[in-house]
Amino acid sequence: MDSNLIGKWALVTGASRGIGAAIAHRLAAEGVNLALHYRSHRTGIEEVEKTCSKAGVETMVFQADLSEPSEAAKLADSILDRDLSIQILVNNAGLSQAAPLWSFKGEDWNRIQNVNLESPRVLIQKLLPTMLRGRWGRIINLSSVLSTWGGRGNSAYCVSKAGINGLTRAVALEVGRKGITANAIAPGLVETDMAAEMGDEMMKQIISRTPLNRAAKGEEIAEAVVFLCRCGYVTGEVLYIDGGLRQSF
Amino acid sequence: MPTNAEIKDQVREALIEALGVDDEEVTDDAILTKDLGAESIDFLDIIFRLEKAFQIKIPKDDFFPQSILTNREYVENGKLKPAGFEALQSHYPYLDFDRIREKVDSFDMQDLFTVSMIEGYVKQRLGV
Repeated sequence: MDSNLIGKWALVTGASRGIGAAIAHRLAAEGVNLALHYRSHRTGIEEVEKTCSKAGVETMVFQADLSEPSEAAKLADSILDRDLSIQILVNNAGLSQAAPLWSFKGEDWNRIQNVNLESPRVLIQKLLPTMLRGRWGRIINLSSVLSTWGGRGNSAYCVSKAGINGLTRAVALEVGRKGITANAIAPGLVETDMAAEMGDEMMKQIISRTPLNRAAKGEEIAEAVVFLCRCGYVTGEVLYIDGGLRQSF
Repeated sequence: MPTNAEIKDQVREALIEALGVDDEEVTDDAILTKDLGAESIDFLDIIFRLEKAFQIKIPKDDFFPQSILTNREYVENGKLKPAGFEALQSHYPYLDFDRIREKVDSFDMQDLFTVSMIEGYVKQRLGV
């Protein structure tokens, strides 16, 4: 186990709330310096930055709307312009929109793919050189149980998350020999604003099918991120942190 | 300005470090992929090491004739067309054109990337 994460730089996308904020807090507690990305929740990211700074790490905040095709590249360029050596990339930012496939507008479909799949692809490509230089890197992509099982009314999200699993596995093969690992974390139901948008009834249904009979806390996902940062011998995996939910599909 | 011998040494050092190969394996004619086991990620690594060693910036398109070798105007069914040959000569004069001429009918892009090709590229960039 590589226990010393102190002083390394991580980029966490979608860090202003929910799972991303929990990951940022947890990494800060490990002594990891943080490039924190957010889209629009300015007060949220300021709060996260404040909390992380109190842990004694360096922080920098970056705004980008990753649903726009060119924004991920601009985000990476901004980071590189500041000479931040990102060695841990957590592609957490996610977008979901529930609608049956027949009614999905192309532009909405594309926005979801841009945030969930295209921006991780761009950020990996752009930030890989930095990891390569240090012969150490961790790429952690947030997936979902819906990457493996269909979700009614969630076709765009399912496609994007299945894609992120494929991207993760392929990248792991390409970069492994340089000391860089790539893994995905596939949560089930997590206590987040995105989950709350499903409504109480849907959440109850999912919880009733989850063997652990509750939603995960963001901190539990963050714990998995730290594990994947520390352990240099896990790569190409999709780690399900779902309370056993996928066993009941 | 480094001498030819210094360029040769530094290129070899970059390849040995990036590919984890032994010194004696890095011969002039060694093909990076087939003989030295280079994979795609290694090329990125080699570029960084060359950039650092020679204080130059190497754009990927500058190093790899990818745009020519994937263009159907220049290569078709694995065969390098005369126009492709000319394009390579024009943009990548340091390539081993005798070798390319020999294999023009069953052209394998990987064969271009030899140790001497890398040296040639660096020399061209440094104006040596």
